[in-house]
Parts: sequence; structure tokens; C-alpha cells
Amino acid sequence: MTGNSVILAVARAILTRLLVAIPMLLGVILVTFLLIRIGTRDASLMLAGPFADAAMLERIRSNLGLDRPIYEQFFIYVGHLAQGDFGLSWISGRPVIDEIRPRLVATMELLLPAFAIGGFAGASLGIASAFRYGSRFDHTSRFLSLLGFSVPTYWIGLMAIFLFYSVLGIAAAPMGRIGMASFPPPPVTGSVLIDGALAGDWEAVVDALHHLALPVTILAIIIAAPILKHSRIIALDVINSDYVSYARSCGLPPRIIRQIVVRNSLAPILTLAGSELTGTLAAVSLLELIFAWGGFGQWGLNAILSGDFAAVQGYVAVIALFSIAVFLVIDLLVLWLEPRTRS
Amino acid sequence: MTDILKVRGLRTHFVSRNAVNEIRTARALNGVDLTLPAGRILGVVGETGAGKSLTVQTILGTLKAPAERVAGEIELMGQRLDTMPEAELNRHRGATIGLVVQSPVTSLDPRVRVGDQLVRLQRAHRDITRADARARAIDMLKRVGVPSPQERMKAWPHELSGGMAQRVVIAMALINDPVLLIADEPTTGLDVTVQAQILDLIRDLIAGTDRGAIIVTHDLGVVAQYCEHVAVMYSGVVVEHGPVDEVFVAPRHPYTTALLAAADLAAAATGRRPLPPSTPPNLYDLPAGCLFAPRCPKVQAVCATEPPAKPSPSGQAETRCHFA
Repeated sequence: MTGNSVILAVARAILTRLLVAIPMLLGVILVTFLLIRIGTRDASLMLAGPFADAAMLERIRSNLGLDRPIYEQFFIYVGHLAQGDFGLSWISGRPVIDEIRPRLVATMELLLPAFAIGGFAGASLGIASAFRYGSRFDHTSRFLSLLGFSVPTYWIGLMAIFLFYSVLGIAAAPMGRIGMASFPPPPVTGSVLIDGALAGDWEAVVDALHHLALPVTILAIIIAAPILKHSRIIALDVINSDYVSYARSCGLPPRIIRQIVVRNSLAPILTLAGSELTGTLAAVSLLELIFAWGGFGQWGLNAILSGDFAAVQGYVAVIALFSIAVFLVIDLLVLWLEPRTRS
Repeated sequence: MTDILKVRGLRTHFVSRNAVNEIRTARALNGVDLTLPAGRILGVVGETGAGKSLTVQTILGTLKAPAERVAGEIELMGQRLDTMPEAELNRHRGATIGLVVQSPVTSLDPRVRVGDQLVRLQRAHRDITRADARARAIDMLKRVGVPSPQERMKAWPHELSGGMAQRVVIAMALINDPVLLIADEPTTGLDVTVQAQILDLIRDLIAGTDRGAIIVTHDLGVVAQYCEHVAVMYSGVVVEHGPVDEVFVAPRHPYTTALLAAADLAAAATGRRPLPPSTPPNLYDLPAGCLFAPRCPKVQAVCATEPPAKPSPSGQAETRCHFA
């Protein structure tokens, strides 16, 4: 393939996936919209409180557009969404998007390094296990993966805080992203880590790293467990494939055999890791709660508990958008790794 | 005439445990003897499960657990392969021994271009520059009948047709000038024209040289047309081994007779069966005497108790039957 046609193929891949993403996104929004409208009480009752009279309820309903037919409400909502307007929070009255933005950055600060570490560790251990199939190493790593799978996130979180903060005293207090007594660096990106580095405030960077260490490690373990399990199976499949048997029969040295296995396992492992990453964005809530992280997941959890449905809709829409973005990136990586998908 | 390959008494077992943790042994190869003289093609025939492909894997030393060679000697050009350290044996695979596999399409590395696989294989076994390896690869593709080889070097395996992939695999097998070429069902799934081209190619490469080839097949026609020697396998034993014009014209083992009769289209059209419908013996529980005895039309009392004597290694046809 020449350089030009590669660019064309990539452009076509992006375009088709974006086109597919639009109905997908609309579907997600429609389902959450309908679930909330159908499955809950009249929003005006909730907002107005127990002492409101009928005239006040009517006013709230017309202000929020709740007196219009439901399909009209949906189209208005989607129209606003398309302009980046997620509506106002029913609790705080602030734009939902302004509530999401800083919290999403806080969550990404947790999620992305944990994904990088957990994904790499899980995939490496999984492939190494496959090469040592049936050995003690294999059994140990499978046991660890099962453990990571079955132990609930909040339990690991609480135990880790108990051990590393309360008993050993080496972890930072589980009270947010930076010490109580420190001043956060001037916000640029919203990430304490990056803003600290930009401002040259190394004290803040160290403090942020100290606060990140424990939750990132726990999250990395939770992400690594399923990736380990699946990459082991994927690599086993590759090791038992015709082309690896043939490569062995051709006397290719062990170094090249390993290279063949890793390269051929990478695309399916990446695809799997993508769904792991998007799933973790939703599952990170409890960990954020335990560490008082003030992140997106914790905020979403609160929105659900307090019945702030404008926020819940925003929460779901952002998760859907994030998933679509992650899968687009993964698809492009697979396109690059996997010659069969190119023609 | 020197022998390229001598195989004596090859036994390969599959050892596993059943549901109640008892050790079970499937005796898949039960003393395989083969001899391949230089410049000749040996056909290995037999029904599915007779151990043809397993013999190839045992010779190459590429058995996967739970399969294990438990006895036997393998000699390639006077060198013992069975006692050779793995690293040294690995230098013979793909170099002195070239392998043509059954399923070429799934056997090529899907993530590496055809040319790069040919280059990689050469550089794994010999000190050669990338440029020289490429030139040799193009040359070899041309020799095995790949049209516009320069273009094909850039092709991905999934872009090849079955026949083209088969040719590429043959080029892979030949690229390092092997002494022994082993082709395991090289023409399965190919149409008759391509099949003939590929077999002609193998014959041209072997005849009159100091190389040799083994073709594993269940196509007796292929053996009759392309091989000088034939080994008939049944249940992990070579029951008859010798020159094709001798074995096929005057078979001495009842199984060979039955196999040849089964390939007789005229007889098949009349509905006549050479053997009563039955299956080869259970590998977990082999008969004590001749392995073919339960199906043999000429079975006698001695066949059930005594295994036929090992034939003495000689130039002429050998057979494992009490009454041959």
C-alpha cells in the first residue's frame, strides 16, 4: 500500500466509524431520556418541594418545557446537546457541562495512568502465562487474576487505605487530590499534576503523585485482572495456531517465535482493553467516593442518588461519547496493526 | 546409493489422565520404520488416524504435549536427530529439512508480508544480507511458479489464493536448500491442475539430485504417479514398504490389497467393499497380536496372539504380516 492510499484508508475508517457513532449516540441518549421520563416521578414535584401549590407546579413545568409532548422535549434536548449544552443541574442550577469538565479531568488523572499501568502489566503477565502454560507461574498469575476479578473494588480500596494510611502511614490521606494544607497550582488543564509541572510547582506535583499512588494502583489492579485473563487466552490461541506451529517447524529461533505471538495477540488484546477502559469509567465511582476524589464517577453517583436527572443524562452521554472515542482510537490502532482489516 | 533418512522403531504415545485421574496411554505410533534413498520420493499412505502426520512431527521433533516419542531412532544423512539437543535440531528444521504443510493459508504469519517471511526464514538459518535474501526469495518464488514474484513479495498472506499460498509454502520449504523435503498433504484442497503443477515441481527438484522427499497423502494416484517408494501405514505401523511398482502391482499385506481395492473406481461402482465396514483399533486398547487382525479377511489364530515380526531392513519390499 502506498502512503496516499494509507491516508485514504485511515480517513475512510474514521469517517465510517463517526457515521456509525451518530445513531449509536442518539440511541443511548434516547434510552436514558425515556427511562428517566417514564420510570420516575414528575420532575416538577421534586423540584418544587412538598409545599408548592398547583400554580407553582405549572410554572415550573412550563419553564422546564415539561408541558410539551415528550418527543418535542427529546428533540429540544438533542438540539441543545449538539451545541454542547447539557442543560442545567436541577440541584445546583449550574450548567451540567461546567460541573462535568473539571471532574472529568480529575477522573482521567486517575483512569489513564491506571489503564496504562494495568493494561501493560495485565497483557504482559497474560502472554507470559500463555508461554508457560500449566506451570506454577501460570497458576499463580491465574489465581491473582481471579482474585482481582472477585474482590469488590470498595473492599480493596478500604483495606488499602487501612493498611497503607492508617497502619503504615505511608499513603496520603484519602481526602482528595492534594493535601489539605497545600495550595493547588493555578488551573490550566485542571489536572493538579500537569498544572503543577506547568507552574514549576514541584511540591504540588509530588503531593499530587503521593495522592495518586494508592487509588491508581488499586485501579490498575482492577483493570489488569480481566486483561490478564483474556490476553492469556488470546495468546494461547495464537501459540496453538497453525502459523506458530509452522514457524516452529521452520526452526525460527525462540526470540522470533515470541515476537510472532506478541504481534498477533496485540490487536485482539487492544480491542478488549478498549471495552475494559470504557467500562472502568463507569465503575470508578466507588473508588472515587472512598478517596473523596471529587471526580466524574462520584459526581454521577451523586446525581443518580439525588435524582438530578439533567446531570444523570449528561453523565450517561459523556460515558457514551468517551466509549465512542476510545473505540475509534482502538479501531485505528487495530487497522494499523492488522493487515487483514486494511483491504 | 546413500539413504537420506532412516527411521527405525518410532513409537509415539499420548499420555493423559481420564476423569477419575487414571493414566491413559494412546499408542499412536507403534514402531514406524521408513527408509528414503537419495534422489527419490517416498509416498506415505494410509487412512486418517494411521499416524502419517504424527510420524512427520515426530521426525521433526515438534510434538506437542501430551504427545511424546517414547522409542525409535531417526537418522538424517547419518546424523541422529532423536538424540540431538533441541537447539541444534532447531537449526535443521527449515534448513536441512524443509516442510510443506497441509494448510498453507493458515500457516503463513498473517502479520508479515510474504517476502519478509522468506527473508526472515533465510536469516534465521544463515548469514546473509537482507538484499541477498530478497533476491534469493524472488528467484525462488519464480522457480515455484509464482507469477510476478516481485509484486508477490509485498503481498499479505490473506491476499493469496490457496494454490498461491501452497507455492509460497513450497518456496519457504526450499529456500534454504534442504536435503530432505517433507510434504504433508501438499495438495489437499487444490484443484487437479494446480495439484499436478505442484507435484511436478517437487519431482523436478528431487529427481537426479542428492536430495529426497517424503509426500504424505491419502491419494494413491499421487503415489503411483510421483513416488518411487511407498510406505503403507495402518494404526501407527508401516505394514508394507517398498518400491511402488512392486507394492502396488503385487501387494503382499492384506491391508495394502484392501486399500488398493478401495481406490478401484470400477469395483466401487458395483458396490463391492474390500473390507467389512469397521474402524481401526482403539489406540488406548490395542490388540495383542497383529493390529490389523480384527479387520483382516485372512485372519488366522496366530494373528490374534503374535505381532508379525519386524521386517529385516533390505532394499526390496518389506511387509508386516505372518502370511506374506
